[in-house]
Amino acid sequence: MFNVTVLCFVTIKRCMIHMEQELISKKELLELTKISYGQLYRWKRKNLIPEEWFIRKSTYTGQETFFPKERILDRIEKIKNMKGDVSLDELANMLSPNLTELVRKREDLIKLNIISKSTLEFYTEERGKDKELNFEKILYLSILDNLFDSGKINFDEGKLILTFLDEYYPKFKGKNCELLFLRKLGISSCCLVSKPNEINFENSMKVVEKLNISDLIEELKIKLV
Amino acid sequence: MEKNMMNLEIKGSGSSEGGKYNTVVIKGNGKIDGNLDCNYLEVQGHCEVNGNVKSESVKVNGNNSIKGDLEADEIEIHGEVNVDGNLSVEKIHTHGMISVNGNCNAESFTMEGAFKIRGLLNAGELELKLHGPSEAREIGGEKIMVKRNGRVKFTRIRKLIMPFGFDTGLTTDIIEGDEIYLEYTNAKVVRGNDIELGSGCNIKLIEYQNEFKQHEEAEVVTYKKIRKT
Repeated sequence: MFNVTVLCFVTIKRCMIHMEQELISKKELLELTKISYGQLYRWKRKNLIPEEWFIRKSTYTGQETFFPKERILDRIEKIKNMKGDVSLDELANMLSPNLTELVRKREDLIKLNIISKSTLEFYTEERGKDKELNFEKILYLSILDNLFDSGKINFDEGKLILTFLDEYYPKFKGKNCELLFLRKLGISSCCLVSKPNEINFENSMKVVEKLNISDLIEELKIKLV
Repeated sequence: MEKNMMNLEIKGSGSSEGGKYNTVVIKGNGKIDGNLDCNYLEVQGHCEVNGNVKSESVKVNGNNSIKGDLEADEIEIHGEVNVDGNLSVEKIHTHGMISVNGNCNAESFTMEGAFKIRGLLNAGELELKLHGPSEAREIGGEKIMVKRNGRVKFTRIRKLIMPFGFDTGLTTDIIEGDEIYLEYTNAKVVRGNDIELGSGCNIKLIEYQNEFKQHEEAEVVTYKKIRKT
């Protein structure tokens, strides 16, 4: 048998993550997106913009607020595009990482183009033929779908991820987290990391895939609703 | 919420472990050790909660101190409320004093009296009539109106008696909103679309987009118009 040691360390420091990202000041953001202070504060109240994106730093005018540039611009674009069709509360629900109590039939998932047929067949072999799937299961399937689709994992590894998610994802429910799929010397493994944390591995460890589960949930909710 | 839930009533002096209730009425002196989740909370007198409070409607006549977060649709206060955590509410109306150690989120916030908020005061509509010194770290929202209460004659007499000091205004670092009207406010930065300053303001920097009006007794160090791009 193989004997593989995995070395990694996790730093729980928010600032490290923030240092890597490009930041945008509140003033620049408002100029760029043409929204007003009132709108920004309203969206914050409705939890459309997560608290941890507001980064306070001291400047010569006192404390100023900055945002992770890419993420906030993406989020504001989403809010602006969807505002006409749904209420702010519904939108907040869609954007939050909480799992909704949603159930969908198998056929619908294929019809809506959320999950491919082969992934669903794989799931049927593993877990039997339930007619309806709840949101949690749909999420697992779409994670697998993503990984199968990119050709980064095989079916055996799919099994590993599925059992892993079944057992450990409920602990991370409603939190921002990332799924890491790792490989070292041909041995594969996976882990869940809550965000915003930084994780570093020793060099021979290869991070095959990094999936942001909150983003995935967001996408799924928009597709499903 | 289910309808057939128990009611909790404390008259005189008593304590409870908290829990889920339909209505909670405290007349006299009450102490709740734990989280409270109810449809209606009424305090007449004094109440101390060692936990979070979640209620559709809250009415306080007297004194209420909460060691956790307070979350409600509607809050009416006559007297004093202290919240150690965050306060989030749709509509709040207070007469008296409110102090929040965390952040305060409200769609509509009207107040007569004084307040102290350690974090951010974020409100859709904010109407403050100050009777005493008040402070918040930051204020943000759509409509922000800060006035100092008291009739004109009365303030003049007060000025004669105490020409220096007598600080009853609002102190804050940053105020940001769409429509802003301020009186007796000390702030480092005020940013907004339309800004109007009344008497007694002392502001270091103003950044406005459409309109800026200033009372002759308002002191502003610098102001600039931000062009709309």
